[in-house]
Amino acid sequence: MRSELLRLEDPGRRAFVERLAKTAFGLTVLPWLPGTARASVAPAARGHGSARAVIMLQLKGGMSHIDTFDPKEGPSKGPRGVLRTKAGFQVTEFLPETAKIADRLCVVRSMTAKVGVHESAQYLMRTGYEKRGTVVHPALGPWLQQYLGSSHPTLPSSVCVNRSAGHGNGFFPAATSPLPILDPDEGLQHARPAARDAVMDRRLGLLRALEQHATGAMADDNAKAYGEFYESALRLMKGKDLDAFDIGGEPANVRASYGDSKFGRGCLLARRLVERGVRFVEVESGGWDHHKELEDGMEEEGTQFDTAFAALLRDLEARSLLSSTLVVVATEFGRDPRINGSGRGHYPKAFSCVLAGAGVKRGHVHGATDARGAEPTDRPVTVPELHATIGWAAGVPLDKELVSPSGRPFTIGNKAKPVMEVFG
Amino acid sequence: MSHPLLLSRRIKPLASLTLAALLAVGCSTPIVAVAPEPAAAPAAPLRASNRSSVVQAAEQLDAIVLAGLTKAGQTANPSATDQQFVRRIYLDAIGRIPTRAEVEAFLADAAPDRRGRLVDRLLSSPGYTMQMFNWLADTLRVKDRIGKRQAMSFLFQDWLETQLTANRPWDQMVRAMLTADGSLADSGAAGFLLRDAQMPLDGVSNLLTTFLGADVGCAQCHDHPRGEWSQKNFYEMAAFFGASDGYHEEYKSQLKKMARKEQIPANTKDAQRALYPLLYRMVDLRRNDLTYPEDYKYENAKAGASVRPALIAWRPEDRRQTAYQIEISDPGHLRDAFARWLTHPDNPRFAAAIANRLWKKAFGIAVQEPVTNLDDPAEASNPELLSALAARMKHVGFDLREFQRVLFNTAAYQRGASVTPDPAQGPYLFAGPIVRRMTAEQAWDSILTLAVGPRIDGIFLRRGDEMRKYALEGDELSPEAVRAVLARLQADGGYGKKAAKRGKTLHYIGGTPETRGRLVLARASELPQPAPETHFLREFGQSDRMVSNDSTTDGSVPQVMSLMNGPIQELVTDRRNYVLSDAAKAAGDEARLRALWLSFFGRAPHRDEQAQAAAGLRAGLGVADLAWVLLNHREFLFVH
Repeated sequence: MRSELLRLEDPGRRAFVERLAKTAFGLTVLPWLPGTARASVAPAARGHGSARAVIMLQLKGGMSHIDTFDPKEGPSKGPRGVLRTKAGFQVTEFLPETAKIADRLCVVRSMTAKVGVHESAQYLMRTGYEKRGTVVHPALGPWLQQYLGSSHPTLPSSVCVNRSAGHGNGFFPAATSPLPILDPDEGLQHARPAARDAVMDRRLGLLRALEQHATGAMADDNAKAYGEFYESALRLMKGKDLDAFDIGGEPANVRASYGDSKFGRGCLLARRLVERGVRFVEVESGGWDHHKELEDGMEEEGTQFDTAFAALLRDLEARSLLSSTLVVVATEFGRDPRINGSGRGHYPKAFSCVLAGAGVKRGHVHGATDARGAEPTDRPVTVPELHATIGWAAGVPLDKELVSPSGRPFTIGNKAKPVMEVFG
Repeated sequence: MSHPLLLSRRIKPLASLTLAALLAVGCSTPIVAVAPEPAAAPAAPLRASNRSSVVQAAEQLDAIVLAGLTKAGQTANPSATDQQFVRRIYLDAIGRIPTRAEVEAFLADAAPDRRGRLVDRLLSSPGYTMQMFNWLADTLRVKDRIGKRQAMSFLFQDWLETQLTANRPWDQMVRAMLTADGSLADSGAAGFLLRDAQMPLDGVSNLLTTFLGADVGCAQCHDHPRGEWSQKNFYEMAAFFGASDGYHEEYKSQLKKMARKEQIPANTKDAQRALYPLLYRMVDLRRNDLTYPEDYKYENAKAGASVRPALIAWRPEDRRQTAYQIEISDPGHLRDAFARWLTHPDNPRFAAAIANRLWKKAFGIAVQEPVTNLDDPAEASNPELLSALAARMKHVGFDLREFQRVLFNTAAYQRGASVTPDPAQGPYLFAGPIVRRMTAEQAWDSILTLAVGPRIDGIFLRRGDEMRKYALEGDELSPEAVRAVLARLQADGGYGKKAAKRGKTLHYIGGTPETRGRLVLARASELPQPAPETHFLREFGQSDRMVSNDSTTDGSVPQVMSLMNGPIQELVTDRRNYVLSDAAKAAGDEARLRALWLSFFGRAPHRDEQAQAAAGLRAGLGVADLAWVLLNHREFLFVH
């Protein structure tokens, strides 16, 4: 098996997928062969399958809903005023560019969760499951790949930008884990072979031969996973799509429109990848944990987000990709309606997320919070429901369970129902 | 009291820095050898206790492990070979693979107690401190730059390193971190609480899970769903820190005011940079001002009422322990009281928590998982083992090195490794350690061992010297004091335009590390914390140090591309490097292959491997190609 995984020639997607299923799991465990699910779904209900791709913007640290998409008057009011938008709802003055494209957005103001600790909240938002000691759940990108198959013969099906690979494939095969790009400027590093093809082939030939003698330790799951990563890396290196990772190929004016920030460059990379056939791209923006100096922080992180997010939507729209790409603004939790010193504490009970593109209503607000921004008062949405909604848009059969290697059944969003009202 | 850093093996006057010295290095992270210095002073000697008592303690743990296995109808793995053992113990005890010479020296030792003696030797070497620093840096979230505060924690890192070198017991280290007063210059340990000073509730949540395995995260916002901890419990514990403050001088406006009055030079930038990190102070106020949150929804306390500190207990009888006899009437000493309880040998979880974490470090999996939740010790895979480990930890007086010495001497640790168990198949009962991918730090340090050789163990980064040098004298931010700082800075050339990189310069003692492009070839513990985000270390899973224990050993496509094509493989395949120069000394292909295998895998090649590699050489592959192959062989990255 090891040598099989290290095979150099491009085996073609079908063969690869089949081999993967055999090597990683065995068909009995996996009732859904990757790649077969979509065909079997009846063409369908509103919104189902409308998203060929998903771009998830993760605002790490916890975005203050009150200072962004759910402005409040009175004691909860933040440091800035509000902007009216042509969509009829308001955002704060921290988001002037977003205000201009509000008519493309569906703002979910009634997100609610129980977890107020960063790591657990990140886990919940990435996987749709609460963190447990006995099982590691897959993140959304691997979920989609497991149901829908690979989105491209050589490019990865999911990529995470500005963060490392943790919260990845969970109990799915390692080959589904998101490919991490830590710095969008650098793109995918080290993809050019270190030596001439003939030399590389001989080296790989010897490597393959030697690994056949590898001892029992190589039967470890993680060690096996490395075999799969070599397989994926070699296919990428041999393929013709590496420039998808190079934002240097974008014209100066396009680069400039996303703003001079790592997050902005990450969003540009996301658009480029989606355009080339990557299904799921997560872009992380750090620094939202505004316990203090909220105003300074919002000026920095908020402005970077505002510029990049608006540019991303305009760019996708200009390329006719918005109708098939779902853009999601996600975060860990909201921030406390009470201002403490110069900032706000963690606040999971009420927060905001945003959906745009791919058959989602435009210029719409779903749900509401009370006058303080402290509780959802209308149509509360949980994180698993958000996941189910994304899965629905991506065309996943939500009622089909996948069985983990430990024999437990799981579904995307943990059996939660999609929020159908967000679809137009 | 003398400054704790004066105990350091590393204290040395800072050599004067010249710009020429910076430029001569020619890399984007300037590095500077501060003073030529022989290999570092030896770490504190191992405890006087003799080897036989260590072996006895190990046998006692082994009996409990075996009983657990037998009860479940399982058997232990056979003993690891000396080859497996030597690679594993180097990685676990000093954080890198052994060199060929080190492997051969061990294999040539026929003495029956050779394993135990190797353990002792490694635990007394500087690599032990480096390895422990990495491990604690992950747990304690050690980070150079906290928020916008550049270099804020340098003095905390220096402190941590000094504690490890002196092998200061864990209870004392933790107490120092929880009770430190003043600025980082007063006590590096203050860096622990200053880090979370702006979010005290999170800080308390972190320290309770880290030091006690009390899973209170949920209770910060609501009663624990399974009833372990109430929100009231959490607030009562947090109240021990309710009078503490990470006070920050309003230094910017004060400096500007001084400049306006022409008491100091008009340009305050240098003064700002020098003084900023040191103007944070841990202080205790006269009253504890923690209150219940406005939306507090339970009957047992009133929203907005002030919180009276109270200790949590896991069982009612816990409260009869000596640890619980603390005085809480004086708000100025609440932290002291709390620390006394937390680190007391009678604290029901303190010893178990650190013992469980160190067991995980040695075996790859803890007796009770996750290590952040020991609320119900009956859930441990082997509760008797957990309790014996806690007892052993107390018996060695919280000496982390002595405790690990016992673990490394167990037959359980010295057995062949198991593959990662499936949690659904029931608890893992330690038939042997489990196979692990090296941590990012182990992988980096092992690659440097191949490229540079063991002298990397003698090159140390000095972090906080400049900060100490330009610290404010006394507690007052007075014009005189600021002028004194500026004068010292000016004498060294100031920050100025040309020396703008000053704060980013890496100062080394024990030798100047080699550089390759942007890579500084020093051990992971002797590099910026954490490494920059595209560095090998981060690519291989070093934590960004935002949350505790966030490092990973998961694989990824970029990792294998880096091994196949990146600067790392250039280092390893460079003919002039340590491992290839060493192999070149061997006469003939067979001896050369043996040397390479011993260097990369700590073992000789099997017959088939030997034949295949020899055929490769005949077919035109060179030793550099072989080095590439062995680096990319999955056996390399894994600890067996």
